[in-house]
Amino acid sequence: MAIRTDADRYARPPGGRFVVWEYLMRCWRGYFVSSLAQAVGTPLLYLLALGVGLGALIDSGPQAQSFGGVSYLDYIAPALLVAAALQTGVGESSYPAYSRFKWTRVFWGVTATPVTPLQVCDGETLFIGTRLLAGSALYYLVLLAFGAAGGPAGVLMVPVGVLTGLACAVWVLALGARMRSEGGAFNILFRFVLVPMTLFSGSFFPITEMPLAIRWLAWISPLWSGNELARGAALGGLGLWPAVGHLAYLLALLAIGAVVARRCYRARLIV
Amino acid sequence: MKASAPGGAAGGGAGASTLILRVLPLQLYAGRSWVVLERNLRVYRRSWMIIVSGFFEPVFFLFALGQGLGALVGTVDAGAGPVSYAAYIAPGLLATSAMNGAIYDSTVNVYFKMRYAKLYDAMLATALGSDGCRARRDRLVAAARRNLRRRVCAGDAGDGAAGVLVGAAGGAGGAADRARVRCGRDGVDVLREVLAAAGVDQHGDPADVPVLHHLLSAGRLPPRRSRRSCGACRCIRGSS
Repeated sequence: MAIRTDADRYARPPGGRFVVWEYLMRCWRGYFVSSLAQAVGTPLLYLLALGVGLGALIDSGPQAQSFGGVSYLDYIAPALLVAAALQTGVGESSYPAYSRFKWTRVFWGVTATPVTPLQVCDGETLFIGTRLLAGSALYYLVLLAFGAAGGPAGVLMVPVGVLTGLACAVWVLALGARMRSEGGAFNILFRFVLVPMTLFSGSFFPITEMPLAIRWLAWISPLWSGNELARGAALGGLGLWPAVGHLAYLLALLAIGAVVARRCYRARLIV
Repeated sequence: MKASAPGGAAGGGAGASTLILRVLPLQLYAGRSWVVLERNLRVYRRSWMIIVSGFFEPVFFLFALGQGLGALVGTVDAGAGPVSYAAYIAPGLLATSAMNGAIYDSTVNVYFKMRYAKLYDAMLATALGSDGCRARRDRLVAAARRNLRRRVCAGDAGDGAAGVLVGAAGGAGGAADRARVRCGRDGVDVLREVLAAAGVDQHGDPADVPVLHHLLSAGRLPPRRSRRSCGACRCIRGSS
């Protein structure tokens, strides 16, 4: 816990957020291999099962032209990258971050040093961004191996994935900082927000296939914005203004979420 | 428990026998696994949302994939003639949902209970509830507990002792006192006092294995104390 005194102002290191980031990176070494295996294995499985397996059904199906003239593999590849980034971002900011308040209580130890709660929050965000960058880059390489990564502009899928994952992760960080119980709210979040978001954001089929009554779910979904941007990068065909709109939405979500998360961290860690 | 680490690391022969006794806890297994089941049911009664939400997940998938993607796939030849894509994936979604629930409960949940909630430590410190053989079990446990309390402090089987000796499992024939002593926050020193006061025999006595070899290395076993001095009782009362 952190108790503010005047002395802190002099002792506080300017690079506290990087100290927290370094700590989390060192923690990452403990599950580095498994997270890399996940980062490579998941796209392999999804691309084989959905892109190649299901894609064979769809490309020979009645409405193969509804994907804008590209194969189903090419259609879902950008969305899979963004969805994986979202999963990683939300996953890393839910139980692992929360456990540092609740079970391992690392954050209380960190903020007993000159590192401030705001720097803890920033360090978490930086670390999640780093993880997302590594995961998305690996995902992109796998897509490249499948020939589903689009043209040279397809490399822009990586920053889009990082942005989408981070824009949602900061809100989950804020939620974790406000929770006091054993973390059951995360289960609800996964099942009633994350899974529907993955399914109804135009990842696997165009949102025009959804009834109008629930199409607004996709419109408010950050994943939909990420999908549109990533598809625009890989396949082209996204207008300037829609792209600007999606980008602005994600950036605003990230900025507001970061402010809220910092407030929540401060409220939790300063007594 | 942290205190078991030095015990496990000490000595070759003693370590091996302890290991065997921990792997095969003869006479210590209460056979009451259904009590654990009951405990889990009671817990889930409070977090019913997890069960209910498990219903919605396949529904979301069925709706999204069956309706949204189904329109693009058309029909699938499932062996017995073409069926709609929604009908094709519905049984698979059911099975997947069941598998995911089971895997979640048996991996992350178990690890959490073991590592963070320390639930299994707490369970092992008790006799795991009661069952149809309640009278017999109660007799055994009561006898063991009475003996232990008497040893801790003659004439004053105080509440302090109960705070430390949180559980006693009935041994074979009720003769052997098998108690699991929770180390708790006060650490090994308090435990030594308790064991000394309890007058538990030195290592080698099979009845003491769960207590002594589990928590203390052979070289650090407490010396026997006379019951009269009873400094341990003050220590126990102070700590509880």
